[in-house]
Amino acid sequence: MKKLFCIFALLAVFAAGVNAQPAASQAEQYYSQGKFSAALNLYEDELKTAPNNPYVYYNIGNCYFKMGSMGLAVANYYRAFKLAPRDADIRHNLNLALENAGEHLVPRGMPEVLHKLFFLLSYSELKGVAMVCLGIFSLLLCVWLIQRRWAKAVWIGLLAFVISGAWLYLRRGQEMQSLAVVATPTAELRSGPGTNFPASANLTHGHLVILQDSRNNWNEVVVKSQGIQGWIKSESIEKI
Amino acid sequence: MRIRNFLLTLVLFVSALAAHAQITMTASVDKTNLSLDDELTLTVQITGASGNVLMPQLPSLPAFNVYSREVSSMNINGQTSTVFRYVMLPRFPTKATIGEIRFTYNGRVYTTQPIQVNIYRRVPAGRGPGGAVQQATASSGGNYDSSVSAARSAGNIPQELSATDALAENNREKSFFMTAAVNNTSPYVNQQVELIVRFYYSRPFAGQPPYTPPTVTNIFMEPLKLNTEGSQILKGKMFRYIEQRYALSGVQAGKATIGPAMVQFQPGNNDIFSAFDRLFGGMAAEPEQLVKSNSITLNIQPTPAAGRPASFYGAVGNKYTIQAQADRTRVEAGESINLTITVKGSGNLKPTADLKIPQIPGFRVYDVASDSITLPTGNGTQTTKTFKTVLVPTASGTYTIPALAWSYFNPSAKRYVTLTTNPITVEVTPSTKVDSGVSFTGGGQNPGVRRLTNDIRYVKTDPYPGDIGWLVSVGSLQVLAWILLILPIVCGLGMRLGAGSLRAKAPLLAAKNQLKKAVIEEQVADAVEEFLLKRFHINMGSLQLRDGLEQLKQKGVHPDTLKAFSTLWQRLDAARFAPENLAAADGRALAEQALAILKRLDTEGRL
Repeated sequence: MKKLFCIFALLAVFAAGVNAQPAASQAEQYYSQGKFSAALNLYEDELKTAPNNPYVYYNIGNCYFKMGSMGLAVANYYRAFKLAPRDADIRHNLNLALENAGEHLVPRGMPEVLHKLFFLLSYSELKGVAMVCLGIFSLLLCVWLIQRRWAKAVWIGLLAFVISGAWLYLRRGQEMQSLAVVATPTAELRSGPGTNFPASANLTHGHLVILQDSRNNWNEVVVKSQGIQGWIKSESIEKI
Repeated sequence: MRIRNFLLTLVLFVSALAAHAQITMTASVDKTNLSLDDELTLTVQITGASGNVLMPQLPSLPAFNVYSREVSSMNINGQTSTVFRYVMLPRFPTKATIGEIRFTYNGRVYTTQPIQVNIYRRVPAGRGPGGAVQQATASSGGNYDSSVSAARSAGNIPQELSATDALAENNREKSFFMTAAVNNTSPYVNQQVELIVRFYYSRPFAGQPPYTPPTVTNIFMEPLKLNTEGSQILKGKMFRYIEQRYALSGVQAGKATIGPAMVQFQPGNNDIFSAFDRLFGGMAAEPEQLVKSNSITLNIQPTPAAGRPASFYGAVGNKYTIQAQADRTRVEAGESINLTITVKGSGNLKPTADLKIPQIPGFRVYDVASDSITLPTGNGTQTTKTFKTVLVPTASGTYTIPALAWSYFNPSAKRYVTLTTNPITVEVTPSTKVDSGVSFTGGGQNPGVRRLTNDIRYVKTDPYPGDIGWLVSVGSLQVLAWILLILPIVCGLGMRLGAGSLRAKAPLLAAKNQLKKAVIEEQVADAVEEFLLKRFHINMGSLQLRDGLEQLKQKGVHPDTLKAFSTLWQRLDAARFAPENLAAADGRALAEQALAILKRLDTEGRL
């Protein structure tokens, strides 16, 4: 009985692998033919089986970009960027989509090389780096405590641990930030959670907002590039 | 006498022959193609007949009603010419023939050639009345025709403008009055409305009176054509009128007003003095008068928001058509293509917004320039609006200028209609010019590299290689982080509490173990010697007791302890060289005594 179960399990995995490849190539074919909507459907199906694959988010973002849905394109590029931040294509497309919306991936005044360095590793990788630094530092410190030797190495290990820890802390702040993007062509920013409050600003699709609070299908947001705060309808934004 | 009579008769005969020979009769019409709305003027001219000239005999004219006859005569170079003018109204569409017109003079009958006239329901486009002027274009005192005895009823007045008739009826008691009427009082924004302003008169007036057009608010107004003239019978009284038509379109939803139009004129007179006056080229004039038309208020409606397409630019009307045309479809990269989109239809397109041309992949699209021409037609206006733009292909390849949408609101059907242009395929070959093309990115590029556009990168087809696996694995071990954090603390505490002292305690522990097992003095002595060696690096075997005590003293051992140690060591030293037969109980007591002293040494002494 166990043998049979194993055989079926193997067959299922094999079949899934066989089907996934034609679906991806079919999606690419649709994309190259300009049938972006059809390609999008296939990529979204692929996402159900690989929810943490940055390339699928990237491809979905491409479809939305070509279909003119700049907000949803930005949202998906951003998801891909968070998973694979050092991928040049993802960075390029996200940058382009944000620029179309009047936003910037690299904050003004920050050298791009520094931004690239900051996002050299994914958050998961960065946690590993911090852990390794911590381990090295801990062991060196133990040696010093016991043997009173390698004092310089202990200092270097401490520096590495502090740097990686600070890097991780800053990235964690980014990761924990509740980001969203304006998904509808235009959205009104109001001073309260309802249409009875006056509209303070009009936002076009693709603008990044930071979620602050939510109430009755309204979200309090801060527009990242402008710094203005207000309430926006939940259906107008796509959480990243 | 006979001869004289003969000559006289001959002269008279010759004169009669000459007179007979000079009579000519012609008949002509002002148009040969006319519609039921038109009137036909038949002119019969008889030249050479003198004296009382009888009316010519018209043939049977079943297709016409003759409602006006006018006779005039003039003498040019001693020859009399009599003109009979008949104004006729067509009765039904047909191919009518005006047969021979007969004229009898001095017993002789003169006839004219038959005339063919085509009567249509409406004059077909391009088949005008052979250059004949349908209606006079200028009004003057001389245009007043007092001989008109009959008139058509509301001849060329559109059905929807019956308001004009009603207004005219109300003013029929006056000799001069003005009316203004529109065909729709609740139009949509930009929907075309026709305004007709008429100046009615039943008496002549002098000169060309100044006309002031109506002032309008919230309306775009444009004259349709030059003023025209007509006649109308109001309760048996014949009126002539001068008409001016305008095309109106509401600018914004809400109220719109059309102010009065005005004519300032000097009335003429029909009395005998004025006739005498006219004989000498003048006119008996009255004081100047001013007549005004009525004011009109329109209720401009907004076009419905429901179902309004994005391609709606404000056009309201019907029968629109759209066409896109490129001046060339084979170009080199960097060369320009002129794209012209033409919209035609009835209505006014002047106030509508320009067509927005989206970004076309592969092209640089420049701003749109528009132009519109409005021309009057039989029943309204025909507007042609052209949108022109320049497209510059940025790279070689086959491109398609996509179908462009343009929508209008049909007020009759109360719905939006969307028209689309035909897609245009353009073949773009690589540029053969060294410095062709357009740079879309500023400077800073390498020479020889010209960036054309900035598009997203292609979809990814390879599987994601994944993160650095071992780093992710290490990073996911949360417990390890705690262990690594705690480890130095443990080490620190351990070293503080034990690790150093454990090492120092090792000799005592070893001695303790040895002393536990010791039953003879020699074993006790070995354990003490080994302890001193390990703990204080003092080899008692090679030192005098005094030297050993000195070194212990230097290690900080208390003098009392030194004294006890000295006693113990002397005893052990004695036993080593003069062994005693100790009981087991004594051996154990010595061992315990030694252990106590060693503990004191261990505690007090420094490393």
